[in-house]
Amino acid sequence: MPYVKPVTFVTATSLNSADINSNDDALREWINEGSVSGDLAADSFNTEEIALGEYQPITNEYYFQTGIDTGAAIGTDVIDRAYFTSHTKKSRQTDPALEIWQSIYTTGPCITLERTADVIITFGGAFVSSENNIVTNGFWDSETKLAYIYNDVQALTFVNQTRSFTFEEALMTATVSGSNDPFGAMSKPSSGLGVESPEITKGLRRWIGWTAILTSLPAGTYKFSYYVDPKVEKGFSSARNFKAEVFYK
Amino acid sequence: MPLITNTVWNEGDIPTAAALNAPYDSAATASAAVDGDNCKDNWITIFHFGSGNPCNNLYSFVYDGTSEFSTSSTSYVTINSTGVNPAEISLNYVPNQYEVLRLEASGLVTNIDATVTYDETLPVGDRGNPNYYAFRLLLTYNDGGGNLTISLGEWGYSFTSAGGDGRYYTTLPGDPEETGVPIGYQTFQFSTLYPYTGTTGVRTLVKVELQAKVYDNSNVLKIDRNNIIAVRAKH
Repeated sequence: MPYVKPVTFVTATSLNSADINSNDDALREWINEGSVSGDLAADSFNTEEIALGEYQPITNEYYFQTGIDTGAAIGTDVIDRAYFTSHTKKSRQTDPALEIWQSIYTTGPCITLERTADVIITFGGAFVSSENNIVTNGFWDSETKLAYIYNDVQALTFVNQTRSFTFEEALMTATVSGSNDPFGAMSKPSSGLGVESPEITKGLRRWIGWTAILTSLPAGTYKFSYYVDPKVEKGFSSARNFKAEVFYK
Repeated sequence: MPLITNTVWNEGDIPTAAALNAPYDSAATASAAVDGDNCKDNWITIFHFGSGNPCNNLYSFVYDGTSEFSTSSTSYVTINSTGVNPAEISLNYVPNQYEVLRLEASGLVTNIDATVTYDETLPVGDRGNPNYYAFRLLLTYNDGGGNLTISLGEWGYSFTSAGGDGRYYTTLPGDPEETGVPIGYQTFQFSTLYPYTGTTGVRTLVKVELQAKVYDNSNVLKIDRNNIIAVRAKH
């Protein structure tokens, strides 16, 4: 509450030290611990009063009083491709139920939340799943999802609102092998017209984009990444970018 | 200006009651409305923000399941993957003038049924229209009467890949046309801003819905996971 002076000095009255000390002590108490939020004038503080943010150029992270902002972008250079493969287990290619999630780098941040926060992550990426040479059945679908590891809990927590698919770029003479048909209910287009063209297989490419929100994440360290459960011998993500925004609650 | 004044005393001065009272009265006045003149720069940190009155308010709708919402409607309908949980976020707040509402939406188009992607009976220039489907974000607001709506934007997609040579996919009615291969399981994602420039206290923002439609009712658009995110940037 606002400061109230205990003693009002009156003309022709003797001045004594106790009165001055009383007023000074009350003022000291208000300044030290007595001021409360109700004493602050509304609509009077501006950005100069709010502590400055920090920029960490190595990790491209902006730290503000209300949250964190970070992101990264990768172009189409071959050296920047993040590859994935089903060949980590020999039965992987022929067992759709066997899940092996592989991280795709530069698809998510590692964030340390100082307090409970909502986090918005926006992602866009080009994914290519090359045609299989060994198991030649076509159009395998490789599922992709955002996931994170929280603190030292090494299990992945998947974010299903980001679930997407990248499809094997097989020739139209192949049959659909995966759980999902990349052509939808119309199934594979007729191959009775025209000539097989590279443009056909590239029509199987899907740009994967999503925006996800994770609400009320408790304080701690989160290692985010976009993961793929590959069913192709060779696939990769080329151009990709992500942005993460932390809103402290 | 809430700054504290004080008298500079010289040797031999006889203080008056008013002069003695002045710094304490000045402090009392200032203490009731401390503002930027009383404070150092950079003093406000996250610890000073009231948890009940944050700088931003976030709202969200998330459906992350695998149930499909299907529509052949040529007018916009709200996505409702489970039938009981429409894709909408309830806002119900009164924005201040110049406040901005930021909106993000995304989802996964799944097992599309693209029967007609080209119609040669349509005027030239419109014949590819059946290939299209679209999404929109619909804002419901209230200015004191009944609820009104405004479209915050429309985002269009096509059932098949772009046209070109050597495409297999053929369509009805009319002669087959090469409109590319069907694109099932493609993601959609878009964002927009809604700035409120009206008078503070007049408008209530009620809700935002994610809607979809197709151009030709022979086609079926199917969607499973979808979400809407809104950020109220307070002014």
